[in-house]
Amino acid sequence: MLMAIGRRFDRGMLRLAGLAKSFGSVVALAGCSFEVAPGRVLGFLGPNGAGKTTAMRAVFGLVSLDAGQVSWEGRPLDRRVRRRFGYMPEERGLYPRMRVLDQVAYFGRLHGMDRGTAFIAARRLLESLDLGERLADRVQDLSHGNQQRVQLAVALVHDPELLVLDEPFSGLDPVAAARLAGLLAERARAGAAVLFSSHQLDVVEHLCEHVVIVDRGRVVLAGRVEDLRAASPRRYLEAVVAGVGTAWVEAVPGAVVVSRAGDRVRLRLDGPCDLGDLVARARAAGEVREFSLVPPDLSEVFMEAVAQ
Amino acid sequence: MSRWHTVRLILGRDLAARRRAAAITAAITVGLAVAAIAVVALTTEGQARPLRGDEADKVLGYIGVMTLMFTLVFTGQMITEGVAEEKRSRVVEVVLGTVSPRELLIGKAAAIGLVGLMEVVLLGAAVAAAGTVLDVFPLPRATPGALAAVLGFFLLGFAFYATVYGAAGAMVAPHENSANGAIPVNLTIMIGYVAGVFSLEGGGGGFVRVLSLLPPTAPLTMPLRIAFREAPGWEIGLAALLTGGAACGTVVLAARLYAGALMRGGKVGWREAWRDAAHLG
Repeated sequence: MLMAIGRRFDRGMLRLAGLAKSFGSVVALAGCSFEVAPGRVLGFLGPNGAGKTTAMRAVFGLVSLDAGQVSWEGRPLDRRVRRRFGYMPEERGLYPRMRVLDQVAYFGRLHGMDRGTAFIAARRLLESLDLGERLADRVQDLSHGNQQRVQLAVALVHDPELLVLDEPFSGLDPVAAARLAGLLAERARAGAAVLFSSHQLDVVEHLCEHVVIVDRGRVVLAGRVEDLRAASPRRYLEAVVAGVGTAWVEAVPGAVVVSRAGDRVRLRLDGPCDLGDLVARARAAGEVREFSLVPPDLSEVFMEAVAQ
Repeated sequence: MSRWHTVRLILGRDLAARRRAAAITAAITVGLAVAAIAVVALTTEGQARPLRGDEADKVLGYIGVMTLMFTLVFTGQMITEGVAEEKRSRVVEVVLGTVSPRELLIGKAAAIGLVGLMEVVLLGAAVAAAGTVLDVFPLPRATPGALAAVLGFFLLGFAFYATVYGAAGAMVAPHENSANGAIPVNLTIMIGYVAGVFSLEGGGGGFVRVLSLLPPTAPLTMPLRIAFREAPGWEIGLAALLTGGAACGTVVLAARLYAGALMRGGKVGWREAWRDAAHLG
């Protein structure tokens, strides 16, 4: 009875529990645990070498774990279940001489679709990805960006219940990245669980609502981006004083300059700080165009978490 | 979706990918062989009496093991390269996300093996037909038993070595020429062939008897012993059983090595590949 209820709550839920893996003396995962819920786009973030790729490979059984388990809807994974997943590995790979439509349909069939359905789904998906004109081209003749789209189509063609994408935004311009984010959100709205990784915390913080941040094989932060930012006790000051550079912020007690570019400066306020004094300094220096107190952005939250 | 359905899909894709190249190779080899026979037909006269019985079986035995050796070395290289290519293009990680390494290896080896076999059959048929029609050589009239033995061991040997070549391809480093990976397997086959032929011509004996029973060399030596009427029935049965069993064994072993090696970057040692594949079975 309890099991049955547990299963119902677990519907469409991927759970990684205590994953551990070392390659010789290099620790890739050290007790990494988190969940991916259906209907949600979850950003899996962390610096290079934090263990993101190893964790994602573990979902597809491509890594022999030292400890821990990946489960789907409360049960350990097997190959039959994985057919309902879609995967875009970090190391992109397609059959270079195979034609675009054939390739995508082939992967649909490997995921259990019958021939007719696979071709219809592949064609529709490729057309929605603006590859309608390239269906009969060989993959090796496409540009890098278009190959990336085919790779995405291969992960999406069978309408997976779980979508795992390793660094899908790397190499995309902001417009393409926003489009991809829209596409992932659409899949999530349709009920899929979406997990994607990135090492560029600043780029993706606007592209997903929920994040898991890992460092050295362990989860250091998890939750809604807004909540994580708001929960930080630190505040940052972002100010622009026209035409005077940033010299006016020198030697403010309790504040550290994080970045400066032209007239724009970002300060980290480490302790109680006399805001009135700061305002007065800015006005004394020149015309104040911007002056705002903001919570840390995601990479700053991460730095704080790791520094502890 | 059953295991065999997946294997059939993989096989179908690999066959389709090689259709053109295979047709061109077949056209060229068949064309050259028939042309050569035609030249011989123009420069020689009439044909001798066709061989029968013992003599015919011996000729068939020699042709059988030689064809097996060449087919294996030729096709094996293609299997090694096919697997290495899949690893090089990194598509293998996407494929192994849904398909087991065993299914992938069996499908791939079977597809390339079929291409190789079809080419050999086509070539053989073309040579036999041209030789007969142009009156260049008579086909040996071998006994049905010898014919069955030659064909049977050909297929057993083929099944045994196809997966071994696949595993060799998986362990080749991405930048390395995949032919290097096939060398140890080629050598094993050639040693088996040469040892078999020489010791039989030297009167057979215990050495070739052992070789003809053990799986790695049995397909290359047993057909000769059968043709020379040296092999008792139980030895033929034992050799076939051992080779068939070993072929099933190599599929499992090779798939494990293949699985362990495919996901690694550089050149992979046997031990590492074995250890790292625990999850992929």
